[in-house]
Amino acid sequence: MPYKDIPCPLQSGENAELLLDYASRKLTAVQRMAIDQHIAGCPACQRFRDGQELLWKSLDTWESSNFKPGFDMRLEERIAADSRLPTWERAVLWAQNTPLKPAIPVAAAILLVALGLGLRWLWQ
Amino acid sequence: MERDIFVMQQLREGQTELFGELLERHRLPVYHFLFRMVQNQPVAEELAQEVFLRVYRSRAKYEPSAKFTTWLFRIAMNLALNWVRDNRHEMGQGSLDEEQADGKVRQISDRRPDIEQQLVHQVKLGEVRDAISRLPEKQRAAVLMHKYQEMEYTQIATVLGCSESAVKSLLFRAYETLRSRLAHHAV
Ligand SMILES: [Zn+2]
Repeated sequence: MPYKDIPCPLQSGENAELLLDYASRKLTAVQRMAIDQHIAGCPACQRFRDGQELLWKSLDTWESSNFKPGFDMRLEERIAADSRLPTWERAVLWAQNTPLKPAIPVAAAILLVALGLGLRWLWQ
Repeated sequence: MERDIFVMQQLREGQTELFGELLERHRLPVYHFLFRMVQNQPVAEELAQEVFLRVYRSRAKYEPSAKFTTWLFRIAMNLALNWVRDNRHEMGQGSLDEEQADGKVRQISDRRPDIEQQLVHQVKLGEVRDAISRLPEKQRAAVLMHKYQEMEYTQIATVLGCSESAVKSLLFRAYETLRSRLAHHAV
């Protein structure tokens, strides 16, 4: 069994996430048993587990709220408006949305330098 | 193949009617995450609109490099962090009223017979929101994804752009801070 007699998660750092997830009920039966066995002889991990369980209950008090109606309709309108934009504006929007955004100013700078060098060459 | 990735590929091919399926599956998780990040209902809704608009705009260039939800939450997190950085003073303002105007939360409150109990609940809720909002931004995002979205460590790591072990230590520090800030809730 891979989790039998695990080293102290708090001291070794190994399987420390099992202590974090204990309160979330995400552990498998085997993982849970391993932590239970360890905790029975380790007051530090027991304190951590108890604290984490109390924290989980506190965090559970924060429920999110629901949408106001009309979310999909508003999105549809924005998408429709988007597709009516001229191609160049859509290209700008795409550039704004792309995760490679930092590359755009760099590319622009390279282009400017190249242009500058080209002009200098023409001048001479 | 992951269904979401299949749908994105179909969108790329021009089958835009499938966009509704993505929206149906992900709009609430994305909205809940954004709501807890910015603590303001209208702003969270506006940012959720922006997330899905960006997904739609990116459909032609989309390349699946990770799970779709990881990519989606990365967009959501970046938008939320930008908003928080630009509007620190507005964080959480007006959101309590908005929440009470909302059906789901009002139902819960209505079921509480005791006004005092209701007040205690509101105070605790306020403290939870405050404790989370005072976390450094990466820790806050990690807690929201781990606790409320129940995302895996690998996914959180990809969204935050760090290693899995970095996420675990981030979460350890964040929960340690929250435990000490909310320790009095146990009493
Ligand atoms: Zn231990």
